[in-house]
Amino acid sequence: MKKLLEVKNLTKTFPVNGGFLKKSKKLTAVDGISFDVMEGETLCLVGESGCGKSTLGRCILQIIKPTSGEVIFDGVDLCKLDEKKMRPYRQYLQMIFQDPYASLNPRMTIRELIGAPVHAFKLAATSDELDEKIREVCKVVGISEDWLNKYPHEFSGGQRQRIVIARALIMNPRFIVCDEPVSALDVSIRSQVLNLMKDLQEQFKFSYLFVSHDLSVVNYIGDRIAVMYLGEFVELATKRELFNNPSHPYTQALLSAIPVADVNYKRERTYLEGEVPSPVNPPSGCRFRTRCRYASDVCKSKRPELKLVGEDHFAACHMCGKITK
Amino acid sequence: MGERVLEVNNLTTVFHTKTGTFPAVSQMNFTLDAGETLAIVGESGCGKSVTSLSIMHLLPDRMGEITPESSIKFKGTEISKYSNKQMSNLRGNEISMVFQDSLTSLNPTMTVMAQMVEPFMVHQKISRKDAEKAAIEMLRKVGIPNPEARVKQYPHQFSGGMRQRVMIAMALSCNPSVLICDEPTTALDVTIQAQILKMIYDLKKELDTAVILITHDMGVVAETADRVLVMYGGQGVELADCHTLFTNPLHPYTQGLLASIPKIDDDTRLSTIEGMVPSLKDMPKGCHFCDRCQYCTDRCRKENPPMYRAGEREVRCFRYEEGN
Repeated sequence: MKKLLEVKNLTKTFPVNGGFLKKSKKLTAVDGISFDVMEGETLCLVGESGCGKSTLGRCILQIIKPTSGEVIFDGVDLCKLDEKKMRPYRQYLQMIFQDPYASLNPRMTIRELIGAPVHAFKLAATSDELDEKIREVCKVVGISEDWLNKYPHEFSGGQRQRIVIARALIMNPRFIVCDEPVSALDVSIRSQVLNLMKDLQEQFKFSYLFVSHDLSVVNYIGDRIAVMYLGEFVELATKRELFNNPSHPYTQALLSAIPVADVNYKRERTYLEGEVPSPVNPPSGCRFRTRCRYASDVCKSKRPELKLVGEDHFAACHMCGKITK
Repeated sequence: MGERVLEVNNLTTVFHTKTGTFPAVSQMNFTLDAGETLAIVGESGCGKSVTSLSIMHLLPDRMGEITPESSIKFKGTEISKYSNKQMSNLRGNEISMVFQDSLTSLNPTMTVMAQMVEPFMVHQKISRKDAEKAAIEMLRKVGIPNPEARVKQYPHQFSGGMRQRVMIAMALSCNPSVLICDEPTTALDVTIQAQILKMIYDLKKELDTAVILITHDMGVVAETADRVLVMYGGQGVELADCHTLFTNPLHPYTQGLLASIPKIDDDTRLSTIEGMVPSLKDMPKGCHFCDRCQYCTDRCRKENPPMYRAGEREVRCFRYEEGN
């Protein structure tokens, strides 16, 4: 497989206001993350709220300018481009958001909404050509043509998410960041949208960066999975490896905490103590050590690096290999 | 199982709107025994929350109304026609409720202590000093570290998981017979969710409280419930004990729902339920699920099936009519 996108040492810090006469503090939302995205693959980011997964997705698309690091797409570092030079690349890098209610302008018809990006990039010379494009994309995502003259409020969440997908798809994207695209949907509708997203990827061979907090969804759609904790990757592995052989204590706890809809599923559950520390003032050394039951002195002083622990399997933990599940 | 604490019969709640009156919940029947957990599951808009609000008499005045033929019996006493004043004696005392969003459920302008002492002083009529002691004890029980100091803080100084713990502590402070939890962990992260669910389970065992757990997450149901009531379109469609429901679902909707959940150890293609939930205003005349059901017949379109008994379980589908 070919590399589509390369992320190197990406960091994003936000200033947090300290108040009058107080120095502002730094919140490191994404802290020196590196990874590759292959063509046609789905890389999933999982983690709890506030771990920086959405910020990472947005930094890659330059919706939020990263503080430092590189995002290499087609041999070009997107972080060094200004808004104007970035624009041609935007066509190939699309995004789907969580809330389909907020991401569709209520005053535009579905035809206008789906056609808007084509307009903006002047990809259709005539209105007939635009119509043709819209009709084509609607057929692919399963939008009937009599939807086109209606407004977003006439549709349910699942239908709206289809419209959002159509709008991203009409640009022939090569990379789509999906930020919790099915979290707001009901179970029976969620499976329809997930199947659609999978089918589209097979047909058009683009890559997804799929941000989610739901590990069972990730297992269904993902090829590789990255687990994030407080702005860092703690584990990155193929789906099979991660689920069968989780190496990082956080991944293990996360996997054991998911409620499984199967009454015959038996397991030993590990409960994590406490809560996620504030990212403004993260623990020294390993960031997970305050909640980790294997933590030792070395975890306090040295920050663990991602290292190879199996085939295509990276984990950032000093105790890896020393702990038994 | 313990004594019967709650018995709901033929509960129908209608909403009056500009466009007319329509039932949000119709013909609900279920019972609840002391010490058991009944999970009510369903998708958004299926009437799970309206059911619990009807029991608590917390529906907005003039908009929502429980119809006269409904019956809600709490420990054998009919409470569906109780006045507001009579209900006040029950609410928070005998039946309490925990809501999804703990930030809006707590008063941001009052310290946690000021809110925690209320149920003690109102229902148990004890002095403020004793109530404060009891409140701290309650917070300790739900696992809040250093409760003496935390109790003087305001809700915004607590994290989401901690606030939900405070809510549960308040709800359990008068040792109620019934605890209704409306999506108690939906807004929380999975690791915190696991903590909270375990705590509810432990406290339920300790206090022998009956719990109604309202959720949309089948995973949570599988791990916590004794019995499950599946709702669709304002009606209960299947009622069974948890193990039977998951291993052998009878109603086509339950079957479809369980099949459309992604599995943690299996990534074969998901099956889906075609179409979408009809709006409560234009619910089909017959079976509410008929438009999406693969077994739909003419009869399903014309008549709404009653709950049929199949052994220990109940299912609302003509396919399980006596003799079939």
